[in-house]
Amino acid sequence: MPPKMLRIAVAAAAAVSMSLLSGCTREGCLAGEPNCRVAPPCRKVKMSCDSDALEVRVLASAAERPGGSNALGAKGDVRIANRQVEAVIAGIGNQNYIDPNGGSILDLANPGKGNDGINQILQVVGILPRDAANYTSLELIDERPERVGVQLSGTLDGQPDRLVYTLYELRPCDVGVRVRTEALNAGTDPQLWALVDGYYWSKREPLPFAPGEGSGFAHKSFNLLTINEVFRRFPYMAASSHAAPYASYAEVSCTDPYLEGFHSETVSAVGLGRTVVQPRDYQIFERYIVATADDDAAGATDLALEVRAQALGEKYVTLSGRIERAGALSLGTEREVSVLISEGRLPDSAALRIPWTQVVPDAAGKFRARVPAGNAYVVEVHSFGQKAAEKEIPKAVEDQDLGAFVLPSTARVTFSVIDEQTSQDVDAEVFVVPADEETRQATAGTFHGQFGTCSPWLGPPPGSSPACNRVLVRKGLPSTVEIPVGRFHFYAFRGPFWTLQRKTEALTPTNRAMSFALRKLPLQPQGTVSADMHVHGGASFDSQIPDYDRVLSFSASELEVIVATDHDVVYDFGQLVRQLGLQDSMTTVIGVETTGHIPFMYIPNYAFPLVIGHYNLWPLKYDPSAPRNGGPFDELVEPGELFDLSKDLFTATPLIELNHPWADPEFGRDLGFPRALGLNTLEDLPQSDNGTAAGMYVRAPKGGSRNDAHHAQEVMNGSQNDALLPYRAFWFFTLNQGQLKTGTANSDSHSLTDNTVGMPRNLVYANTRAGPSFDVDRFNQAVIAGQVMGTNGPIIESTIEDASGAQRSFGFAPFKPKADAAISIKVSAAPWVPVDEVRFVVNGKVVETMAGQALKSPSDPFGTQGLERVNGTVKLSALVSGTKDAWLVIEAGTKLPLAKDYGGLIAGGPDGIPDTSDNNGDGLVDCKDVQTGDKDKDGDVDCADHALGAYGPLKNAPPTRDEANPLFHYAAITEGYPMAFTNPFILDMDGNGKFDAPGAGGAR
Amino acid sequence: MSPRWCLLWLCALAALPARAQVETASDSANGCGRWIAAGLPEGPVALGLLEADVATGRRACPRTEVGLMGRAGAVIDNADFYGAIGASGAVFGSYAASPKLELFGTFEALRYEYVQNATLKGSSTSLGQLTAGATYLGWQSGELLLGASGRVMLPTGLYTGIRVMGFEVSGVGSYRFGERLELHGHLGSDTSFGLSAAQPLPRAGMLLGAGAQYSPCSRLGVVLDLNGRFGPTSYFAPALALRFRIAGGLGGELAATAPLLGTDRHDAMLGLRLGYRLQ
Repeated sequence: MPPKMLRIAVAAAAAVSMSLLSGCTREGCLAGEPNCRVAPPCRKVKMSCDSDALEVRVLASAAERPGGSNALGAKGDVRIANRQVEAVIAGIGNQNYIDPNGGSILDLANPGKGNDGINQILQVVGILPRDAANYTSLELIDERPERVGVQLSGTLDGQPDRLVYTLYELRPCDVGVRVRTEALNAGTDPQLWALVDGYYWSKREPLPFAPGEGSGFAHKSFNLLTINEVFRRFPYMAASSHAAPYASYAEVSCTDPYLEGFHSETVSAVGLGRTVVQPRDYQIFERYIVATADDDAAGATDLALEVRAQALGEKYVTLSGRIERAGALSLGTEREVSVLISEGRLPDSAALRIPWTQVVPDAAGKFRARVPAGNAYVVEVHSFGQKAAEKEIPKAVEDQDLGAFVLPSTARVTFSVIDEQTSQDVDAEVFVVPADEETRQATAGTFHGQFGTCSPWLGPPPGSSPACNRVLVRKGLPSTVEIPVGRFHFYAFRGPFWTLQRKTEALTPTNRAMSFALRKLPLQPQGTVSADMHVHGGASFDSQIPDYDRVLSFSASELEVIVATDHDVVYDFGQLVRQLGLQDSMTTVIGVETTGHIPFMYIPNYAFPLVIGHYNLWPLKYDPSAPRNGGPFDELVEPGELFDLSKDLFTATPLIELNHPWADPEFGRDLGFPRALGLNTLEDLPQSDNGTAAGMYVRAPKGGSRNDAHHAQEVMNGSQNDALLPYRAFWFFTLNQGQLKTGTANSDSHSLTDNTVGMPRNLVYANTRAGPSFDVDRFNQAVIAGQVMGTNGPIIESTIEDASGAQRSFGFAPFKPKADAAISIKVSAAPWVPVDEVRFVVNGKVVETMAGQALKSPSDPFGTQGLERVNGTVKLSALVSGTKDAWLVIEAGTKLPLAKDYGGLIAGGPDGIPDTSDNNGDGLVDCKDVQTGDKDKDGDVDCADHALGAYGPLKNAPPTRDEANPLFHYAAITEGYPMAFTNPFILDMDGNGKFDAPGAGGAR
Repeated sequence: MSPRWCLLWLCALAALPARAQVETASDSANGCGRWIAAGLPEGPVALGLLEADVATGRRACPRTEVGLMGRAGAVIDNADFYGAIGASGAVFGSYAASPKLELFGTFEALRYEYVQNATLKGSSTSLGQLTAGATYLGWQSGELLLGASGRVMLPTGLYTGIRVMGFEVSGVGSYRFGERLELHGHLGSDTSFGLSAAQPLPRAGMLLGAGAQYSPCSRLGVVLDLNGRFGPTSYFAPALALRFRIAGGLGGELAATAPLLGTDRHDAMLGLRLGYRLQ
């Protein structure tokens, strides 16, 4: 053989041998050896500092966990910390959110900053529940002074032959946590894995930022069926919180120039690319998760670039500059200035630029941020939600000072609100509304295209006041905000039972003081307390409103009872209530909203696993040392079992409320149990489990509580009231089945802007007062008894004379009406709350409507006169006749939106739940209103699709912009329409002492 | 061609007894020598559920041939939101070193895998496995042939981080009733393991297979095998093959198998082999 051929043959043989033997070196825990150690991650990364402090320990109490609105660490969880960073890893068995059994990062913060902004970071290989790592053992690694760590071992959930090992490691000078995950497919089938860190943001929380063409904060929308199409590569992912105390995070690979994954405001997936993993094959993912106490992405991306410089040799440069604005109150938060630095040129559209970082200047307006060296960049300065200036850097090869960016001046407005009767300052909320279209368009803003659009944009909608176009005013304190110039209406609001005052001003770049005087109106019936029984604060995974703003918003809406119902975690606002001196007039009840995250429940004729939706439970004990602050374990159980598991957690008369029973699912998770089951409300419920979805609704899964054992159900949810019709239809269905569940009305507010807290609210005839003497037992018993009226403005007071001559109010105690009984009815409302109709609903059907001349209308919406809209009687015999029992609900407000029931969820066909509104505004609901479901795949949705079964959507008409419309002022506050309802009068017409329910459709 | 025409064509082929000539090149009038046509494949169906030709029974009779094979299989598990489609193309060959000894090998030159996990999708294309082995015909009594076969699987599959190796030994046998009907079977064991930074995860199995080939004519044979494997991956999988001789030594096999019992999750595997017999 010629020498050349011989050399080639030897080289080929060597290459083949290398290939065959590659990876034969045992590594980490993949070899399956007992007491193995996952290899230290990110070995090329070395941070420097002058401290060798390190800590690893199992938490003994919540006092040892980081502060911050999302802090979840509990007894049994593990804290690792140095001087710069602290992280809490869920202990084995401490289940939270999507993590099936512990091992996820629950908290990530900076010591002493109290700034945890992380809900959860967990390892997954896909989007199914079984794709999450289920760790079963945890080992502390204490090798101080060199390193500390937590090593977890387990498998994919329910897949014993897919092994997963993860090491969280911290070294003394680290500015983030080093993480290495090893995953082995020890099964016999090839798997498609995307080994990633799943970040559970869940809206209104830190927004993911990932460099990419046209990306940054903007990400392609997707659903569970299209998720595969939105995977993309990015060099790092960052996110920062939008309310103090601030935190900034970034994740960067220690081994690869790119990560792969997807992003949305709900979740991010950050990790390795999708890979077919053969049997016996494995994946290793090493990354560094940075955490700093900054209010921008740059706080963490600067360090992510440092990691890339050390691990990958990538160079970076620092760009700096300063912002100037005459008369600025501050330049140091993202509402005033946010600088976006993108790779590209000025002529490039945003879709072509690659945003690399986002930085908020310091109070003096100075900013600096790192970007990769050698590129052309465009620096955009955003202010009050709009791009205000930009500059181009042709090539950034070295650190560069960009000089000054001069921004237009704003108006500085100081608000104060007094009680007109006492002349004392009161807490209130001011809504800033453009007074003309020019101002609306000129002041429309977003946070880099996210969190929706506000006109004007005064701050990030999920954050503290001012948020979007809303400003909280605290009595006795100056409330000064900067507002872009323009002509605005200013509405001062203190709840639905106070006057509304409006001022209209053309703002110029000057200082301006604006005072309002509001008057409490004699509307709220004696013996009632106003209660919002569904409110979220920063403790919820989908809220970051600071506690101060949250509690101040309660007061600004003059709520008396607030049930804290954060998602999956118990929370107590009591300390803030006392701090604000509100404890004599306000009571906060400790509760929880159980929130299903892990799909598990299969129903007939549907292939996908489901969750059971959301339930509010109160009163509970706030125990921050326990997982979920003492909240119940609510995954993988049907409602009845959840109720059984929760029994011992209640501290007084238990109350369980079924929330938003027919809300659309989010990210494949149903929000209401009835909708998850796809119940057909045209058919009666069975007496027991008959193998159908309806049977599941009534069954007792563990022999204890039934799945339908809740006490109350939301009929109104949210200020927009956009799902009233389906919730109301379902409530009527249950009443017709003889299930006397109390209808409630709650705001479900998560921020100052998604819903106005207390709009709607409940008036509970509980004969107890908010404050120190509040009796939660009496309150809950009144709710359970149906002695509740729900309202976002109108007040309905009504009685019926019973056979003994006593006046009976609504509630679940059946009574036989007097033979010629009349219904006494009084409807009142603040002058700014339009009431067009009073409806009498018997067995689910509107049998009488009072409207037009029968109702009075106040002449001055901002006055104090004309509260009473109707006060009279109606003969009961005109509504209910015969000897069949019936229930009667009275409603008041504007006309209900037009809607029809065209489709059903599982079986198809009508299901008794309205699903399609008058979407083309022609005054009819017909096939032309159907806008969803391209059944014939011809690229549009029309009547042909409706003939094939398409239906929906159901949505409110947009808020009116016509100032002559009586709803204009109301819509400025709620973006909804007025509505109130009583709970039912239970009419025992046959006098047998019990309620014989009419059945589906009310037609027995 | 429609299924009806296909059936008619097959019947017509089967109705050509006069053309059924013994074309073997064997030096024996019985045993391996009694085969209806040299180009017509013989022995167990060469379509397995594991890598390359692993765990498929070998024929007892040596022959020298080369050929190409392709196969594709699917695992569709809707309830588990899992789907996988695998396909491979391979070259195979055997060499009758003596009337009693055959050396053989199969190399999966291309292996493609598409896997879907709920809505995530991905695929991989790589070299597959190389197997090599030998069969020795050790005992013959009339029409009954018994032998031993061994096969090694070499770690040529270039997956992300793993190389897989294995070996297999079995006893093989056949009994021929004239030139048209062959009974064949095998009993053996296979094992495979990984070479990587991870644990090798050795997996062994007992193999058992029995079947028959009936050749109504020299151009056509039908094979039905019943194959079983007992081990971490277990199955009871009938295999059905249609064998045909195209011309001279050129023949082929169209086969299908599906596990009816066991842990193997394949819904079905289809295979096509085209070979040319040289000796």
